[in-house]
Amino acid sequence: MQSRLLFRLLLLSSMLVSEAAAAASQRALEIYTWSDYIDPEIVLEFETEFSAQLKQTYFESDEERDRELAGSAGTGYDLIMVSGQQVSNYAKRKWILPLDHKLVPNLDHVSSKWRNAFDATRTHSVPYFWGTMGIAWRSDLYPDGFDSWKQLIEPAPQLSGKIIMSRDGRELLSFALKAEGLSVNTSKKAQLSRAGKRLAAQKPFVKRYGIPALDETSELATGDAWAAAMYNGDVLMLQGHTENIEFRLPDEGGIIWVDYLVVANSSARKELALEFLDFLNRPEVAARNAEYVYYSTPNTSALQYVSDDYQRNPIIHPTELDLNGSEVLKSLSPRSQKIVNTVITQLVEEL
Amino acid sequence: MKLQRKLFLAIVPALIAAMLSLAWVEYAELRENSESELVQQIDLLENQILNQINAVVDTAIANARLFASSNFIRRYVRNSDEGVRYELMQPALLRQFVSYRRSYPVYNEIQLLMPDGYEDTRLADISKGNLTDEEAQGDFFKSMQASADEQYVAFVTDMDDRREVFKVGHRIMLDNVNEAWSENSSSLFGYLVVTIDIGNIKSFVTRQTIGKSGYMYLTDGSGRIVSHPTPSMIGSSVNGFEESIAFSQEDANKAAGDKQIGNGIWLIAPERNEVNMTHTMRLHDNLFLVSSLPESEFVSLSSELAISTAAITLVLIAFITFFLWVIMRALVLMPIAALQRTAIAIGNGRFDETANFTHKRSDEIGELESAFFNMNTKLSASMQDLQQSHSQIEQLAYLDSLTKLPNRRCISNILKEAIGECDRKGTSLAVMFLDLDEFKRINDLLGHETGDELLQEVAARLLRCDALCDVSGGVSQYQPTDLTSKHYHVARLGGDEFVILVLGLRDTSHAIHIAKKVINSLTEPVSLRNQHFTIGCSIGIALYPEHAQDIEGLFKCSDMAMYDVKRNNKNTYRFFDEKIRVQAQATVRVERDLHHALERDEFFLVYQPQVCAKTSLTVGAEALIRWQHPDRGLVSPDAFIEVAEATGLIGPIGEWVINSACAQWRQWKDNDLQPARISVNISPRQFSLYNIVEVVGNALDAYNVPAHCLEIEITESCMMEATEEVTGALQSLRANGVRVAMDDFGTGYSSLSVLTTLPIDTLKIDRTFVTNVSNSSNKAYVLSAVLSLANDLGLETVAEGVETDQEKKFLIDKGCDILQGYLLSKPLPAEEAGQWMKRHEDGLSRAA
Repeated sequence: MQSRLLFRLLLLSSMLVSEAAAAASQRALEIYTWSDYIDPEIVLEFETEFSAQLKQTYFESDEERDRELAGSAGTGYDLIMVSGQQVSNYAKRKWILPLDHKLVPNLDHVSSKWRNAFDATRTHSVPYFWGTMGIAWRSDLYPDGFDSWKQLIEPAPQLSGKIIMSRDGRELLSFALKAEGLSVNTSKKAQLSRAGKRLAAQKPFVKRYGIPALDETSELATGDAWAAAMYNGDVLMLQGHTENIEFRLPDEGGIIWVDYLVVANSSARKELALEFLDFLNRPEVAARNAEYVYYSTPNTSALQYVSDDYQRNPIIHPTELDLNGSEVLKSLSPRSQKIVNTVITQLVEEL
Repeated sequence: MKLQRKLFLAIVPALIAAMLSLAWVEYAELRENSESELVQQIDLLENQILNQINAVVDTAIANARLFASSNFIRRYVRNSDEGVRYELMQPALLRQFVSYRRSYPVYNEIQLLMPDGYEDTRLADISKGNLTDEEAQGDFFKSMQASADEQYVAFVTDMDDRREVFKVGHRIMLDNVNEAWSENSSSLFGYLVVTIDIGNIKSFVTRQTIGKSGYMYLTDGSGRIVSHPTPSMIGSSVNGFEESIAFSQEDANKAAGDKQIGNGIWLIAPERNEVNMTHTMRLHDNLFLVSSLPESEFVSLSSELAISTAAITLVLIAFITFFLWVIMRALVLMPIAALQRTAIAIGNGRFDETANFTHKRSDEIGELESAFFNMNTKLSASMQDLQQSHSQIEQLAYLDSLTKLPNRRCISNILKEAIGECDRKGTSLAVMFLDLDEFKRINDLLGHETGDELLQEVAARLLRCDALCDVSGGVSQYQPTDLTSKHYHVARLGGDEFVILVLGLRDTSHAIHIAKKVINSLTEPVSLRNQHFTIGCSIGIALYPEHAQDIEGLFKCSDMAMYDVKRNNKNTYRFFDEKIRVQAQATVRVERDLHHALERDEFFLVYQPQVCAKTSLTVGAEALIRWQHPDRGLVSPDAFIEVAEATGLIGPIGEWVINSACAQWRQWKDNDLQPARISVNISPRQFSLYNIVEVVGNALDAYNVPAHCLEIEITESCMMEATEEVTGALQSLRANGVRVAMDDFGTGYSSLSVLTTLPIDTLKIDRTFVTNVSNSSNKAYVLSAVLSLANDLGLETVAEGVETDQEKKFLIDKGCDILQGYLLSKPLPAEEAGQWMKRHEDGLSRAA
């Protein structure tokens, strides 16, 4: 769900280190995840301490991962990084292992708020990081700014062709549903269709559907785009390149995402996989990983080890008031999901 | 009746009859050809459209097979869990459909249907609605389900948007993995359906024109029109469609009738209020192409052919007739006509005509010639006596009684003969028109008798000029029988006008030589009755054949050239040239038109605003006259003012200008504009024509214009030549409050010191000083000196022709008061000038 472009160089070095460790160990863990989503030093520590090897395979989109798993049911992987609403889908199909809390004692440090955030997440997964999705904009180019999703879905005339919207179906519809004051998890066909129509009406204002680049070539940095629906962590990276980027969770509430790690049912090294999950949740390890990834960690005990900068960052750590009205995207009924797929494909693919 | 006509009446009708019968045969042949061309055109178009349809359908069948066999689709349909399908796999499937549609935009819908007809996945235009997810009840699905084949194609009406489309369905069959089934069995997992928009083909069909007004349209199997050049016809049914299908399905060879082509049949059917011939072709099971051609088209085709064939026939008849005529003329009519002419010539006393007889013809005409010859010989002898007495009478009619020189009639005859000789020998001649410069004065002063003696003296001197220049010739009296043997002729046309004719001219210097000689000879003092005179003459020379090709033309050209000499120099000569003609004509035309221009209200004024250099505010406008000539369009003042001055018309025109300008000032004033002042150009001739002070005063009174609001502009050159009358008038005008400006300063060679003495208020600096002043240090130096001097003398300065910002800046820097030129505004019609001032109103009121 997240895009990480900032630490490409570090990623390269982490891969080299992993290669070296592979020679020294027979025990290999296959993990299917986003690129650059674990601190390479922590990987190295794990490999040394457990005489194991961690092999990472990366996916670039939720869709890619889902398609892959729909074909293989998870075979070939030990650990999988999953977004919250898919955990129950994976669990229902028995692709992933129910977790025994006793085998992952460090789960004690993890906030039960995030463990319980989705169906089946408490029983089948370990929360990894969480974050929000809100509106980012160039305060110098568009001083009016945004208070609500409604202002993004029904934009002011000068925003024509200046907005970047997500390409993900559920996310896109959720912005429009929020703007109408509805729950992002509605299954009502009429509400979903109407939200689709509102997005179609917004289309002339949209520069493109996708994720803004996070380096200096980003449209938000060059001023070609003035506003975008963005992940909080991405906003932080972009702010490193561009001044005048503001971000907020709209009045109707933002979208909250949570990534979970699950163990594949077909894994041959379930025990090692569980040891890795436990290792990641050692408060001190979780703290370092959080500082590396710069997202909000669900590991509450880790907070005593993190830096002040990290702890005080309002974008990573929104207040309860900021989060008022924010929702997680839960799994829809299959036929509602079908409507989302159809509506969004037609919209985004310009048919 | 003439022989010529009789011959015609005999030959032409026979010719016409023969040609017409040939034409009829040709017409019938051509008609058949063009009808079959129409039929071939239809045949070609039909096959082209059939091929298009086949290509589209075949491609779609192949693509549906390809899409249905995609690994991902096969994996997708095997998954019976809707949750997995919709939540995990469908986005990827849709993306695959998107890529198909990107490659084949004519597929306006791609669907994956379940075996029970449930629409699992659908990708269509966003504008296309979706009636239902349950396709099981649709005719297409039922037929596809019932079909035994792996693929099913149909031309149907789309349930979602009621458009006619091709739908191509492909079954997705997968091997059974369930062991209970036998090894090779496979079962149905769904259908992949591609919907093809045939809008392109529809519009191709409706765009076609057969012949002139024939057209094509598409129907479905029931005869309902699907696509038609007239959109209102879409949806209606075709008359007699069943019949045409029945025919079109039969073997073409079995169908009877001569209108049959290809694999369809022509039927005559009433359609849209006229009888049409239609040809129906099956393009697909449920899709028919109908070509419809109004019967009137065939009829008009025939009549067109008939007309063109008739036209060609008539031309041929005319052509052949002409040839027959030419041949007859050469063989019979011409020799007869020649004899006739000879007879007439003999009748007229010309006996040398028979010398042309060849005596060679041995036919009847030859004998006739001999008879003529004998008759002629006898007649000629008796005529010679008669002629001699006749010539003496003639001499009297051809001479001027006073000078005994040839008169106009005689010199015209000589000239006529001379021109003929020039043509034969390729030589040229000169006509010199001569007019005495001071004759009128002498005649008035000393009386007619002296004048007559002077003319006789002139005639004698003119005749001597020949002797002086041509040693071989002598002074001789005129001999009417010997017209062109001499090379020098003098004639008197009347009054003091003489003409000298120089034949066998070698070159122009020959003519110049004689002209100089004549002038020298005439300028020698004349003594008559104990008094001595000096006279001069003006000579205009026209050359044949360069300047004119006939007698009148030569006289006229030499006259015009003479007039030009008289107007400009006197006592010299000048050759005619085109410039003289053009000038003379233009002057005459302008003069004529000018007489009417005022009555017909063809003049109008334009106004060029003048702007204060310091404040950029408008201070006034210069009124400029324009002539809207009804034929020549807009005529520039350069082209008519000079003529107007020469003819005195400048008087009424100038008065009109003053009055119009004052009236305009009043109109602006009444419309709440504040025109500070208006400038009017005055020609010096106006001062001598009437009392300008009075004219101006009347105009100011009539329109209630304050005197200081009118400025009179006089050019520098006029000012320099100004008589006391003019300066007096200018002073009176100034005394009354009217402003006086010196126009075009810098063109009249006046010295700067003159400025101190002239009765002027304003100095208008000519554009030649202003243009490019920033690039020329000399100009800049002079201009700044003038401005500075004018400033010291208290003269207001106006710069004309300001066209660039650099010029403007320079003028402002050097203290020029007022600017005028295209940079600020071109001269504008009154209304636009008013609007211009309105826009600068603020400035006007302050300047006023």
